[in-house]
Amino acid sequence: MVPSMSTRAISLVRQDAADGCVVVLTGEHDLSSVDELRDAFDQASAARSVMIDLSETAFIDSAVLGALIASHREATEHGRRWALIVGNGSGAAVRRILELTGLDAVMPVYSSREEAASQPFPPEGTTA
Amino acid sequence: MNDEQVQLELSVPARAENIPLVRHAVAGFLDGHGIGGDPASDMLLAVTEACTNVVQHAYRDESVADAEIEVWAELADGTVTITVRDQGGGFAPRVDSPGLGLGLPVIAALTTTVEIRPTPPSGTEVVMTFAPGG
Repeated sequence: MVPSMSTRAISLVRQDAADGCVVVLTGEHDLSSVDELRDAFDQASAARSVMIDLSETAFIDSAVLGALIASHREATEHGRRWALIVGNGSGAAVRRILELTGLDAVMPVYSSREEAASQPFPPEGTTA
Repeated sequence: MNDEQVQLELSVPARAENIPLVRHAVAGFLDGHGIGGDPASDMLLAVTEACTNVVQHAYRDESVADAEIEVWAELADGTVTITVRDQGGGFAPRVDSPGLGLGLPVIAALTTTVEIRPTPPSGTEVVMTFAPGG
């Protein structure tokens, strides 16, 4: 199916007990929403564990990838756990651009929040 | 082979908020001709990248009034051709590029053929074809 014109939304889900924050992207995202995405990623970066959940994301392009890469880099530089969630509900374009650019091999990608949450935190002060 | 041609033509101001509008128009065109699934998804990603290039790079010369993205989509003999054109300053090296530089490689990977050419007296067009079966 052609991606539907699903409603675009960006929501932050804070997980206080785990000092975590999940940024959920719904619908289609591209250059027209990338500034809002960067703001959301900045807000999430105060947490020790950041997840970007694309399991309800119909579409992303290379402009969004740029924001994801910046968020990942910022988190790893500060020794935070960072994960990208690509699930069954992720659109074909989401998987495609991650695969074409090879970013699915260099960024931690999980199929669910639960799987991502089971990963260990990087040791304090690491930069990788 | 069927030599019937069907076309979509649209022109929108070259602003980021119009990129989804172009994508949805092309999606509607493809859907109306029975093209869906991964092939359509690839075409929509490619057209989005081409439009992003226009918005980010084409109109750095502020003297260009009415900066627009022009898009044509055509289906002929099973091959979809999508052309994205601007009237901007053309391709030029840019040290302050806001993007990752992934747009054109992604387009090249998604298309059967892609041509990028100047459109005198000004502007650039990206002509992307998508043949059946890739």
